[in-house]
Amino acid sequence: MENIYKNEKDLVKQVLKNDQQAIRFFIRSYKKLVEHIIWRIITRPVEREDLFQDIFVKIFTSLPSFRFDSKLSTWIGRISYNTCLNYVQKNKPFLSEDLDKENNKNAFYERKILHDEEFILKEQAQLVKNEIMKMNYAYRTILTLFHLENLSYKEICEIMDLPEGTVKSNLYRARKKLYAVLKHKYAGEMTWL
Amino acid sequence: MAVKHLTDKEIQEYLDNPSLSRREETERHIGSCSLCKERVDTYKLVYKNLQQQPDFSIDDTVCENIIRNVSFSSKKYVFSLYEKAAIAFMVLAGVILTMVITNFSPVFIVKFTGNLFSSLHLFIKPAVDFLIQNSSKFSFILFSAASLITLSMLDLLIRKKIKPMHGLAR
Repeated sequence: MENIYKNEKDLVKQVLKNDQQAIRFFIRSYKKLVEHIIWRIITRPVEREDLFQDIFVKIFTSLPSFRFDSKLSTWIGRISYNTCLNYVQKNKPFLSEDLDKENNKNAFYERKILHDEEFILKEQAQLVKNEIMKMNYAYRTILTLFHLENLSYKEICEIMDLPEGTVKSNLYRARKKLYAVLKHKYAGEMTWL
Repeated sequence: MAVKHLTDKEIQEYLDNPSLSRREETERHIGSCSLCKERVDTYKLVYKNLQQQPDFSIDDTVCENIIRNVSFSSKKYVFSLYEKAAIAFMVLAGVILTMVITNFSPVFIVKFTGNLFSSLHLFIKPAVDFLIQNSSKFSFILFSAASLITLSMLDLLIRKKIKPMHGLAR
């Protein structure tokens, strides 16, 4: 979809005028960001879809009062992150049970003896994913925002309401942990990867 | 002389910043040290996996459903003359009620007799004098009732003004 809007202010102005094309462009523009945050925090697909709708309802309800103190993407990221965290806090026992099931399902891949390179790449991806899901929500979100959304430290700090030092050290620790897992799993096999 | 290997922090900085000032020096070291090269390769693998897109995407029908249901009220709310009068009356009733409840305590009167409020005092003083002379249980009940009615009206106004956005139902 073509971007016909001069800037964020112009887009928001058109959205608030009920311009269907602008609303469609708005959702399409920020869909990935919201999806990525939900994906890293929420495990069940049905809940992800419900939360996606909840987040956009919140965004559109608060949009008239958005004052452009920050970038629109940062503001949307903050709403998404807070909505997911609130959801997780309310449904903690249920979600951890679900995560266990997910890990058991994933363990199937680990038990398989795989030789094919494609399978090994799949296995690595699954291993990294499992390891990330064992981390706390802050680590998971920082990894996603930095590596998938390519956001700056400043933007991540604004979304998560954390000091820059904390974001940097969490990112460092999370990647070091993933490095250790891959290193341990593929010790001596790294030359052909 | 012992070789100084790259730390995890240095490797992560090297992979994060293409414009790193020590880049050339770091690359020279990686080229000559097999241990650091292996560590950098493993880190590259971590980064590659972190950039993999999720196996999850919201269906377009969900987005279309949201788009269909979004609606913003374009009408700016303006208070009518009647509503403005009601608010003014409520404020006045509040002031008078406070005076009655505090039994026209000197502290309250002093506030209005200070230099800052000297002009206001010209208007308030006769009213206060009148109320001091005519204060009774009846006037207290009257003012209380008037204030309650006004508060209810204000409550209705607030509810009318802060109404939720229409049409964002699932």
